Amino acid sequence: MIKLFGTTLSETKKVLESRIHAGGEQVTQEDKNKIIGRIVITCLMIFLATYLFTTGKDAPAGTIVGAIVGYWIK
Amino acid sequence: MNHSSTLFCSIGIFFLVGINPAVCTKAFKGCKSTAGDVGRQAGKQASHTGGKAGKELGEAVIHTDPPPLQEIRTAEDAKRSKSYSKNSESSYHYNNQEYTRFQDIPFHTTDQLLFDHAPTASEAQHLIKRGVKFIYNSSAYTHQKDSRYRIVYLIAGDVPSVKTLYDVDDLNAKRLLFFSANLINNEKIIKVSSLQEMFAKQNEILGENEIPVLVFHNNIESSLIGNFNKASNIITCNSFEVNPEAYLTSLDLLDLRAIVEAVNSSYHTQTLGEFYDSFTSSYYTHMNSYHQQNTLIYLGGGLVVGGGVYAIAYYNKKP
Repeated sequence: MIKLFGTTLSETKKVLESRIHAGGEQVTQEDKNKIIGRIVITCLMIFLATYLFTTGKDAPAGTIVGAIVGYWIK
Repeated sequence: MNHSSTLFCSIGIFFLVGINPAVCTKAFKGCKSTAGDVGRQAGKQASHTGGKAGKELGEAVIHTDPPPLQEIRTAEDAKRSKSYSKNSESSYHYNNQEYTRFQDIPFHTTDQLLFDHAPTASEAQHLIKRGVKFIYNSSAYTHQKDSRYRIVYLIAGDVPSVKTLYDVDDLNAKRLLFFSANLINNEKIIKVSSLQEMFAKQNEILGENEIPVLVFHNNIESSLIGNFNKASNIITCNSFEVNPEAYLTSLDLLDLRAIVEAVNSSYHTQTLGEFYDSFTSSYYTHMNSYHQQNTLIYLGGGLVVGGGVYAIAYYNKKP
């Protein structure tokens, strides 16, 4: 089945909402650390892009925004 | 459109993809299982033993009992009729309305449905989709609701044993032990550390004319399923695979922490009927509050990021 969007968002949500489930795929502390890192980096990139936009550097800012959106919808 | 607007639109699209009103609405009302991508089709239930499909629906009439005492959250809940029955092969009655297909019935999460048989795969799938995790067996309900019961909890005191019993990793085993502390220290609850011990306790409790309520992880071998007495009650994921005729049947994967919290809230009741009323209500309440908490965290995070973006834009705006 063709998916319109990728799995990055659903994967992130799954790890953030992980509970204790017997059996099946477990969410490890390493997974959680990676997800937190992913979110922190994204926030920092958003702040950087905002700063670049407001100081007139539209091209690099647009590139950063495009990269963020592309990363999260893949 | 200026560049700041473009930035905000992009961020808005990002949040819409991940956090949309439908998700938020569901979160506030209580989302479905957190089992995530694990298959929920009842015919191919991703159970830990490999799964067995539900039995075929025969000629049967399905009834509900008058709503037991439970938390009434909204005026709509208070007015909702729990009347549900099958009138014929092609007609169902629910909440004072007629439906021609089972899949059209808008069951509610807190509905307490009585079935006199194991649900079929399509029925279970529809119930899961509507958020109904537990159904009752009408025969067992009639015979056992006023019976006294004893809870048997399969748990060990050390992390390695818990990892084996519940198929969890180190971190989750420690968390499970932490959340189970009240149950482990509770003298009213029987703790066993192996399946053999659990079966022995089951027989002992039945011998005393009480009903055993067994709490364990559904990863047992099919050869051991025969050791469960038909009169025993089971709290585990997809319990219809173990005993479809038990008083309370679970249709989906269950959250262990919610199970522990619900048992903790309900063990003081006197009869099995009271226990399950309290258990299911506590389970749903726990999951609802968990989802609401998550939604608030997402919204709070969004506000923080939005506030940061606004602050950066405000303090760097061109004169």
